[in-house]
Amino acid sequence: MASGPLREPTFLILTSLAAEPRHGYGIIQDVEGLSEGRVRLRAGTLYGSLDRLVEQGLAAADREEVEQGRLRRYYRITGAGRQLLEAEVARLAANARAAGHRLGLEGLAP
Amino acid sequence: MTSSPEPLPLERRYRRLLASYPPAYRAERSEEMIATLMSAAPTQRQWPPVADALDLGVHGLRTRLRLAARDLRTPLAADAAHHAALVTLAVAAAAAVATVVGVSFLGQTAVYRGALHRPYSAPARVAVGLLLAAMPAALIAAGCGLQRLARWLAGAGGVGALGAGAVLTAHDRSDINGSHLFGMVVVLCLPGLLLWLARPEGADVRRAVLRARCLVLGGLLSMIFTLVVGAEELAGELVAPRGDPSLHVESKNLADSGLNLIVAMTLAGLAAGNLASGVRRERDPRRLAVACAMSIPWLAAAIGTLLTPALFRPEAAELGGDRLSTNLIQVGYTLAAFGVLGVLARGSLGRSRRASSTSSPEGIHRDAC
Repeated sequence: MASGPLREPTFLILTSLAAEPRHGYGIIQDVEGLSEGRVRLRAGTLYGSLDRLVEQGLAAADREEVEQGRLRRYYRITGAGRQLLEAEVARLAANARAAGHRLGLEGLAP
Repeated sequence: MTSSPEPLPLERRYRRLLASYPPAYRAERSEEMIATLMSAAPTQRQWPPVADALDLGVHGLRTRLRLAARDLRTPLAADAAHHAALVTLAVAAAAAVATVVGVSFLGQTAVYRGALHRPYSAPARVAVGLLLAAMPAALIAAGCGLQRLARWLAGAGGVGALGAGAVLTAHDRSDINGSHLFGMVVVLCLPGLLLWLARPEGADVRRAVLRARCLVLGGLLSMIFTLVVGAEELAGELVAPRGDPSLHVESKNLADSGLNLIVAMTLAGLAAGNLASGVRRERDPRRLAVACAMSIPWLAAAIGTLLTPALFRPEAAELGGDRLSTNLIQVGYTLAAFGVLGVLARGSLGRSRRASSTSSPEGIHRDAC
């Protein structure tokens, strides 16, 4: 399960957690920003992905806080999650470079 | 954990939507999810957006499936499936013996007398006999504790019957032998599948999910099968003038072949096996709920299959002798199956009592989600 391309929401959630631990609503906002408004996670999807990430050891619950009477649980990326994300970034970058070459966009490719 | 005594209407509605998640999951997660949902909602909103409702409904059901799949890995669930497999195997072995006797010696199926228009050819009889012999052999192997051998025999019998059914049906499309054999195949494939489901060792998450899906899919397919039989039957009744047997012979063949009742008994045995194991082992409502959930589609299919002829053919009694002998054979099968079930359930109760006197009860909660 941990191998193979990540689905976009999972990729973006891991990316969001890579910077710092975040709570559910924090992840939703950050993912919306990261994707320039394209991906707006809904709560069911978000927690479904988080469950899978935690089960696979790619993310973990970090701490709990109560803000304005509401429970906030923060999640962080684990070592395995970071490794997987790095591998995925390398894979996507290689694909993008290859596509860039074919299209004659060398200047634009990283 | 929550604060305000009077929750906002939106929060109340979101909480209602979270009911699609399993209770154990809600206890762990609902406050956190409500916090996220409420933060994401504009302040003046009263009702959750439809997209949110759909999203929560779908993911709640997926979580239920995921947790049920995880429970399949527990010894109890494996045990329930194992009992069900043995009961099913007993039914399949009885059906196999009846079929071999009927096909080889009488040239027709013993399950429904006079069902075959023409007898099978000699090679077909030998092949059918060999294939079906796998079922009693598997039952004996399971009784001797040779689970691996039993699994292979039951699987080989089921797959072999499937192949033979396909070949015979393709060979002679006009004959109704194909549809009868197909019914037997449905029954004969079940024990192999169930013994495979009952494998407790080496279960990983993905395999457990696959098992859960097989159970659900099997139940759904049985229900569809039941509905199709019922619809055909009804169509036959509507099109054919009453009392004219020639016009609705097709639907009659399908519905009266006895296969639906055999399937029903098999499924009832499965459901009862699940339930009996679930009730008797540990009085844990969550585990009982898993056993019930595993049984519901099968049980519904069993009841539906049993009711179909009664609902759509109230004058079935007119069919007379054939019907009566079919029913008698079916009653015999049912009694045999439930007898085996009773013995198994008693045995497992004794085992669990002995086990509980020596070991401490295991925790229900594995690693939290």
